[in-house]
Amino acid sequence: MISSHSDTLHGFNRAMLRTRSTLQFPLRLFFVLPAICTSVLFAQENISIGGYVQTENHVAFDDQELTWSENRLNLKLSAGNFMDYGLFSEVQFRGFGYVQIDSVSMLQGLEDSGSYPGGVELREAYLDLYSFPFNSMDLRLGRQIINWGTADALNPTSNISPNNLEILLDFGEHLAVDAFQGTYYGSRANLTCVYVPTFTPARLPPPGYSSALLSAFSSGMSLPPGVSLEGFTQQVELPQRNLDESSQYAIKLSSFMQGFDLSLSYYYGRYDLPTPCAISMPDSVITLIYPKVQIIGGDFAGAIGSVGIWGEGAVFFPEEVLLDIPGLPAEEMLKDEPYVRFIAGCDYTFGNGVYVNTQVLHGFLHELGRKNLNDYLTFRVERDFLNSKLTLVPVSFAVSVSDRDDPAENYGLAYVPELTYRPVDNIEITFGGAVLHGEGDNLFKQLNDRDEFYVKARASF
Amino acid sequence: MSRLLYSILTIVLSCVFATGASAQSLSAEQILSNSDDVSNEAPDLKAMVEMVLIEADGDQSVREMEIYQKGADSRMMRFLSPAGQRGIGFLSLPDDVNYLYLPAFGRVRRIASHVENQNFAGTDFSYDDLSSFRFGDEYDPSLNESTETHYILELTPKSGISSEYSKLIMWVRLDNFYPAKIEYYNRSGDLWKVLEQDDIQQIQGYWVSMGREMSDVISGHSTIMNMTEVEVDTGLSDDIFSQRYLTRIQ
Repeated sequence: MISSHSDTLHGFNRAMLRTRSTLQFPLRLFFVLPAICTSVLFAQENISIGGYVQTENHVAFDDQELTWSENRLNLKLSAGNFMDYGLFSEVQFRGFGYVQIDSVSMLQGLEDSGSYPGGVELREAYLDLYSFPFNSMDLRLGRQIINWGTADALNPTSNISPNNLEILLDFGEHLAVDAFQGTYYGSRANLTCVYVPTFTPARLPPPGYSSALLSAFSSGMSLPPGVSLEGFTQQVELPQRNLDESSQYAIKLSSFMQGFDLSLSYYYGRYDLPTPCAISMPDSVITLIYPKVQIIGGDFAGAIGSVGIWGEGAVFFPEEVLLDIPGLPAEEMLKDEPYVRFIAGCDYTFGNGVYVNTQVLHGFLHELGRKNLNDYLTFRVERDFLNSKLTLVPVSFAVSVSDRDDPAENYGLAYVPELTYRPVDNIEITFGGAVLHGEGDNLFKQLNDRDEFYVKARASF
Repeated sequence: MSRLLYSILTIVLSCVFATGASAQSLSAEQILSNSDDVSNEAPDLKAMVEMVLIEADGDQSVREMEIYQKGADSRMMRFLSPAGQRGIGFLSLPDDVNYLYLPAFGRVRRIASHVENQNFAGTDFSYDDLSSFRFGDEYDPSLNESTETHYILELTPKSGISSEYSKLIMWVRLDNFYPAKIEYYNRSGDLWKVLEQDDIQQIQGYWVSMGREMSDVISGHSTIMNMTEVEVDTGLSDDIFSQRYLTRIQ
């Protein structure tokens, strides 16, 4: 599924204000570049303006609750001359779900944006400088989404752009970061360096889904006798607004050998999902932080015969996180011991057009720490009909086993079939569903009562 | 005067017999090799391409793309329209190394050769049909017939070559060896698709088909492909045929 989400424009502006007070002139210039891009864009003759209008609605099977309802206008502007530079900007206007009114006074102030949820988001805005400052170097400056790795949607080595999990089963979506990216193209290998001065957390799905993600971190928490987490307020603590605490940087060396694309990477930054670090009893508050982490990764992609194969793995070196509970010894939430997440997969298209894709995965994107890693298998069958006007995905599922010793009581299953119809160019209508089932402690068990179907329609222009 | 006439007649007859002898003496392999040479003669090519998809009921839709080609096995295509596909790029390199760039994902994806027999973006051309390769590398030819204008070759996949086609019938022009028409037969031996290459022009000394039509005779669907703004032998850099350029904004 292709969709596009990002931080709000307000969030971007706040980030700009934060950084203004602490960053030196060159970095300020770097942040202003997207704005310069926009003005330069209008001076171009070869501007391309496009985008789409989209409506997406998810309805729960059980109670017919509208779990997601979004209408979106997406605008993309780009310009460039292929050899020297390129500019790209993407903005989206979004309106969500139900009107939120609980008083007469709110009815009298209908312009209040809080009553009518929605917003404007700057998804990306960057400037590409090709062959700059020398022929073998390209630079990309500004708000951008950086996707690394060779696997489908679930990439242990892609840690720069935070996950966008607002539609939970839409794995692989990322948010943009304000970054400086430079790639040196050598004769035998390419070297990419990325610097991100500000921290952007992952976006979580609506409350009922978020608990499924966060339960992985809290499953090991020991609480004082008679104390339950029900009714606790969760308070997120972002890193301090200075370069020491909020910066991320990453390096990737990629090459092509013996018919395979290969890369090695290093990342220094923070997890994009929060971990509990303190419980405050009198006021019933759980404080969550974003732990620091270093990640060494590697990936490959190629073919054996005509079968496509890929693999990707990463060793995570987290910082230790202790959970402070009044009156009890500190609980270790995240050990400072390395752990490995990996994924491997293959795909093939049969002569009759049936496309098959399967992946095995150790450690889902929300599973932090060695003790929380589970094994997954994904399998997808897809076929186009009517000269690609119709795409049917009758089989698409993920299976998880959270305890190999007792798989019958510790498993999860997600079945997500989909049908996409394109009656004419630029119009796409998608119908899909998700059936989730599980036992024991795993992601799909947490989402047991979240079966749903959805309709998405998009008109591109 | 009579000596002059005699001389002219002698020269003309010599030419006629020489041509006939040449045609008779060329083997199927030589004809196919000459045809491959002519089709891939231009060192590089850059063009704008319009593809018109025609449904069996006559409904039409249009795809536009730009294409860069170098040698017999390096090609890059990027969609300009329709809007929903704008920016999608496909890079084909030697040894079945293919990459697909989807702007919505912001990432280049390696594509294995299993896609080569699939239709490209809803057209009647498969990835394989659009790739620039030498038929002689993958098919064994035999000469079925020589007409006044064409050699008619039958091509069958070489041993060990995986193909969706059981055979091809190729009409090769006598005057310049350009393949003017190809019939594609499926594994059941039934006629599946017909490619007709029209408007064959000489640009800077290289033969180029400016218009071609691929018809799926089973489904009734067809695709017309017209090239404009064709530039050949401009010295395209090898660098262009890379992931680096595939993702560039234009």
